[in-house]
Amino acid sequence: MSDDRKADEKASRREFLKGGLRNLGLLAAGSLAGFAYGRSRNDGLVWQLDPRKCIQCGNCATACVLEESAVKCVHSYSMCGYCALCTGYFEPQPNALNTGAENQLCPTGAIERHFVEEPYFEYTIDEELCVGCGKCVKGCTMFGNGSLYLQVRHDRCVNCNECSIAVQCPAEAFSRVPASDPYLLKTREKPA
Amino acid sequence: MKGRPQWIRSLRLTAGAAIIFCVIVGAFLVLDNFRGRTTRLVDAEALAVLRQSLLDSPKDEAVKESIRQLDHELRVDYFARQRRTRQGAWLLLAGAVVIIASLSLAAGLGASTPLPPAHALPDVARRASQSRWAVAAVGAMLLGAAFGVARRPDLTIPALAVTPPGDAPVVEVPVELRWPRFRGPGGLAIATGQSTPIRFDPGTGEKLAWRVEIPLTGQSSPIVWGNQIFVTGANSSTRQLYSYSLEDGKLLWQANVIGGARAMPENVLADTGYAAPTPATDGKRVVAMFANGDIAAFSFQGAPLWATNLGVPVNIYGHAASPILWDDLVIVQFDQGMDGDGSSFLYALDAGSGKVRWKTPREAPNTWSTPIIIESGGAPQIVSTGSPWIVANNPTDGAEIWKVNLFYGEVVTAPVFANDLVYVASAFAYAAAIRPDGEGDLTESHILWKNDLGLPDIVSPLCDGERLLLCMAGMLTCLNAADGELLWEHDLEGDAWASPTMVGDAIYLPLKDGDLVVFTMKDGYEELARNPMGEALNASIAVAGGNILVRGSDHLFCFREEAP
Amino acid sequence: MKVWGRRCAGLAMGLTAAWVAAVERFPPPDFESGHQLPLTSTPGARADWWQIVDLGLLAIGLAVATWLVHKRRSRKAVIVLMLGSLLYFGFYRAGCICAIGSIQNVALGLWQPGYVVPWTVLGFFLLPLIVALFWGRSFCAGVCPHGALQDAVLIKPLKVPHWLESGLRLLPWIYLGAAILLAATGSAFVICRYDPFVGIFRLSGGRIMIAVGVALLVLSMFVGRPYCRFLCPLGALLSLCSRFSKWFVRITPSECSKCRLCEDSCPFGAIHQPLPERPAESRRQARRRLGWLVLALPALVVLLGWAGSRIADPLSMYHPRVQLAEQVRMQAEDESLTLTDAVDAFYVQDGQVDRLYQEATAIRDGFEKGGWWLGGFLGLVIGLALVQHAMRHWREDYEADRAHCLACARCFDTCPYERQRRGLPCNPASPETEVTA
Repeated sequence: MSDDRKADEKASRREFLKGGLRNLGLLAAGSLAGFAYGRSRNDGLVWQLDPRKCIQCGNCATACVLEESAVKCVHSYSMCGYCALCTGYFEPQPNALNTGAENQLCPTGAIERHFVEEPYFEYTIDEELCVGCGKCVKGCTMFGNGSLYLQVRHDRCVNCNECSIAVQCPAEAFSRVPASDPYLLKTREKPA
Repeated sequence: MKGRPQWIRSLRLTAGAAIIFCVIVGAFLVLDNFRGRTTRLVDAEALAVLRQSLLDSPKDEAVKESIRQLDHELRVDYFARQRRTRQGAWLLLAGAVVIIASLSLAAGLGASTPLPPAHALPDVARRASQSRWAVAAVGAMLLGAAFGVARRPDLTIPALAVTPPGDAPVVEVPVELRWPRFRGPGGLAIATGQSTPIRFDPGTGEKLAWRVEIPLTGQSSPIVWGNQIFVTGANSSTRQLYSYSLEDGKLLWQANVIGGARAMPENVLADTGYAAPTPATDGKRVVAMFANGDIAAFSFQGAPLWATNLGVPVNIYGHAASPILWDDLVIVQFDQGMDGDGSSFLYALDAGSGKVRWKTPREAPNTWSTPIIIESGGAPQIVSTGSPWIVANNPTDGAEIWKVNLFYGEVVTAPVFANDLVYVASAFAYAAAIRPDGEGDLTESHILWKNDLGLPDIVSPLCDGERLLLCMAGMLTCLNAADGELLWEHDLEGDAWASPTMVGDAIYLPLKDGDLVVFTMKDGYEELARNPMGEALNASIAVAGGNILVRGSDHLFCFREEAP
Repeated sequence: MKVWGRRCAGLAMGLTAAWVAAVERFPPPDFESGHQLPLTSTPGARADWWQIVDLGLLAIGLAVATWLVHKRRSRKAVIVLMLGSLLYFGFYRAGCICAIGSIQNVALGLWQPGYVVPWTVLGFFLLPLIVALFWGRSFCAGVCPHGALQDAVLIKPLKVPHWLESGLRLLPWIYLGAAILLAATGSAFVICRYDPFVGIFRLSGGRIMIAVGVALLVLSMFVGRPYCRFLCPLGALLSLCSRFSKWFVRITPSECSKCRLCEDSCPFGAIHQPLPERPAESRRQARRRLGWLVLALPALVVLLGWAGSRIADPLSMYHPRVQLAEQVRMQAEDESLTLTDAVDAFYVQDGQVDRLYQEATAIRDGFEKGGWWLGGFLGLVIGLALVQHAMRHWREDYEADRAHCLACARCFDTCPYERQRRGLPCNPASPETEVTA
């Protein structure tokens, strides 16, 4: 009998201790929640790359966890010079200014070139074909207005907690941005 | 109940088939993926080879056709493989589901009501003891890992150069043996009191004192102090400063420059090269600069004094502005990037240590011009050109004295100074004469004259006090320095990138194709000689003690009158 | 190349004679034909209300799992819930709203003021822990897609030797500590980077990620949930909370007859057998050992703390700035090394070596401090594990191991009382069923 009681006492003591620790755990969770909530935000965060930091290393095409990278080329048309000799579209020493494969920089032929009016041509990106290699971006940034640049496309991005392109980005160009404003678009600077 | 074993067997067969299916699909995917590596679309080698051959023979339709065909094949293959990978992954997943489902079902069907284990109850005390040892082993492994990893060396800034040995005294040499910077004393490109050969020819040896091969190429011009000539050369990995004897062309020493930048700017054109800035000296040391922003100072004996790096310039053709020396300061016009990005500065480094004494922001995108130092009203000014401002800064603190909004686009030409006026000229803008005696924006008030005749894109102007000589793509234009009126024009029939230099009345202008033209401009164009150097000429000449120093693409030539 | 330069210059002049203050190299044209510029499309990110759906489903999943395990006591229903979670959180959400990974976001949010934790992520971190404080690891049972994936493929569980299990159960704590240190210093989210299954959920990923995932899945066919038991850092936290849970999974619905039927039913080694008798070795000996181990605890903390401070330095290489500084330094010491893109970008963008080194050194100092904490924490974990293995818990019945039971409900079906309750056949009248102890 006394053994039983001893055992019971022991068990109830253990229960009491456990309860105390549980409350401690709750308190910890609560204070963590309180502290973090004070600093937490309502909208989610998504990944984006800063085109001003981008060095067009080509990792965006290969480092994404998706087979088809979520990073694609975008075009800020208002910045584009509509050049006949587009350094984002053509090879550095193009054979001729036409749409022949031998003249094009884009490995997938994802840039379309349309005549607008003399002497202007418009360049649009076929996103289905773009692989995000940044070759055109390099040409346009170095010799043109920089109106072609890379962006994470949020209809494709699965928003990994740690973006695997960001891990490999040599220019540390990737950062989290608010999901409500998920692009870092280039715009035309105001002429002085 | 009777049907169960058959069910189990057929489920297991299904699983087996699915396993074989998965292995086949998996192997196919792996193979496809590895094959894909060799035919990467983005940097396909075969395509690059074909493109190169098209560059060699631009008219070859067959090469074009094969490029188009290969390009098409690569693209089709790339997207097809992407599709195959996606489909294969789904097939694998489906196969895995079948395997797991059938095996689980088979296990479920084969399960009987639970039986108690056949083994005896384990010895709890022994088990606990084993567990303790296992936990201790993990702890020991953690400790072992701590011992196993060696500490990496702490990050310290690598020693870049020998500590500065203090101020060296000026090596006194006669004035005519001083050609201390790009375009000589004051950057005016005028040598006086010397008699230099007019007609010379390295082919026949006429007036040729000596000729040496320079190890590394460069578009920079030679400079001279006393009996020492200094020349720079560089490629994408090495940057060198050479010192030759003026007397016999012997290489006195050469030094590697390690300024701290380990990056090379990407878009340095071969036409600009990695050693476009001309070195400079003040008689105490030689300062050399390179395309990656490295600047280094050496003693006249070739000992490194200091080296630093201003950051790799963002420059679409490659950095070309030369450093100049004034009162123990190294002045560098470091224009880079795009307009308005705030990355351009005028630097003054301590010539003794390389430390930045002051730097003043410049409202200019990348330029390629070298400033000059003038004196106006008894006070020195650094005058530099840029887009759109011509600016004068106080060399003691970098403060802006005056500026003129005049230029546009890519500015390569340096200013010159004569008649207490600053003369500037650049393509797509103006040639002008500016009175440097004001403060603030002088655009409306201090431009004596301006016009748009014969504006040069690369060649800097030359002014003898009465005339201003401009050169654009081989077309010489001579303006009256007093009012800008056109005096004469002449087509040289040969493009020049180097700038003209005047000795007495003779003007020496190296042409790209290798001819060094000598002419006078007093009474219209009068050609004195056209001397073939036998190699491309892009550097301006240096003049010292009656010697004409010509840098070609491969050689450094010295011509003088008394040569045998 | 010069072709471009000259042509560009020519073009610039031709087009822009009147355009003085240069901003772009080629000014955008004013079209005479009235051509309208196309718009740059910006497809939005996943709408915010989807986060509420995620969090809601998590809460519902936790509640349902708890109810199924504690009240319905149905393994089949748990399987259905598990597969549902696998489909939604795993394959549909591509594994990327994940309670395991949320540890790092919370750590980053706590230590790096620049990062703000979204409240959904906070919810994903806290909800499973709070539920575990009351009802045990319901999250592992039916909500976690990682667990579900491994559980689904478990076909022929092999028994992991008890000693090995005891040792391997420490790995999640090490992983947890390291992950928190790396996240808190803003270096990396290693839990996500080395996640084995996310590539399978997405049906794409790096070669190594896929290979490790498939290998681990094949292992999971024979070893019950290896990731959950021997790696999962959230599992470590959940096991801690679960120890203090108010109500816990009971193998038997009523009473235990010590029939041993459930003894081998747990593929995760989480069933405690009864300890009614005095052990073979003397009580005195056991007490003395316990005393020594308790005394050794602070020494262990200090020793491993020191070890941690040593490991901190190589760990700091996970931080991108330190990595960059190290690359810059190596390049500076040996010029023949080919330039990495990162060093290249560094010199092009900023190039201030002093500042980079200062930054990297400051981060390393932080790591050194963090290393002491990490090591000390692991010393505590190991010391407590030793103490625990030196303690004897008097126990009459077969009980689930509060810390390590994943509430999968497998053992329920082996209990004769449970089978009786559910009307299943039980206790077949065969001679082997005699208790042979």
